[in-house]
Amino acid sequence: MTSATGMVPAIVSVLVLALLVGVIAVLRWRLALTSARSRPWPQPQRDTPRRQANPAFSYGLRGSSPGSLSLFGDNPLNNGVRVAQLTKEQRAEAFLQRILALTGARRANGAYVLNVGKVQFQLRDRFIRRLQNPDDPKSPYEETCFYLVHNGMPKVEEIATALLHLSNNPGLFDKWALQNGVAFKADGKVFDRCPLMGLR
Amino acid sequence: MKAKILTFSSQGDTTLIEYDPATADMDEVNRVIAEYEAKTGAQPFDIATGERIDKVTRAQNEVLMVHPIAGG
Repeated sequence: MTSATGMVPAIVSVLVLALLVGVIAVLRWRLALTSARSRPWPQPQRDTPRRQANPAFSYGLRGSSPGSLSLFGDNPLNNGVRVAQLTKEQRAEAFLQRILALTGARRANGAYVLNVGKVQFQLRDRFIRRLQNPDDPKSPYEETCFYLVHNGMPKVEEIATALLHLSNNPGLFDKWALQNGVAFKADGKVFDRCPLMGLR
Repeated sequence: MKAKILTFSSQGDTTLIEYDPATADMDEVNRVIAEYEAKTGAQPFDIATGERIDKVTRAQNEVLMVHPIAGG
């Protein structure tokens, strides 16, 4: 009885010690997590040329900087003051405006309207309607969804891509509508290395 | 003035190649474009006219590689 009573403080001490070790472990884990979150992700060296076969070239993927964009005219300076860094969404919107001007498309009622001959296409986010006679509100129409096989680009760039496709090759609409999940290149040929093929 | 081959990507508009059209080897430019098309299905469009082109020449200063689209 006496020895059992004597063991109680020892057991309590062990439990308190185990609790302290646990608390310290949790605190260290939280500290490490906070430190990892605050550390910037390593950025790919996009400005590093992949190869330099010819000095006339500079290869490699890199985002266009505002200074190099001709979207806003060839002058990167605005009265001697450098234009503020644009986000990719702002650049994408500027590019879309340029594609709208090139294709003669316009924005109306939340859609991008493109006339090719007598046919009118109305593009929304991943959705296209084709009207055979846009002047007649009761004119028959067809619809199809569309998506870019390489995911992740800004939505307005997807619209710009579809506008360029349709303005050059309006027959692509039929292919998109009839062959779900099959990717077509701008010339109308099937792109059979589509990374998303079979996933939708 | 430098010429550019651009494309749309998850990073927004992205420069694939930049070159001097006066001195560049245009066969090399078109070889790079063909490689990119084989890999991604993207085809070149002249951004000055909005038209698809088969080959890039020294006359084009800005070319956009337009990616394939699927319906569904």
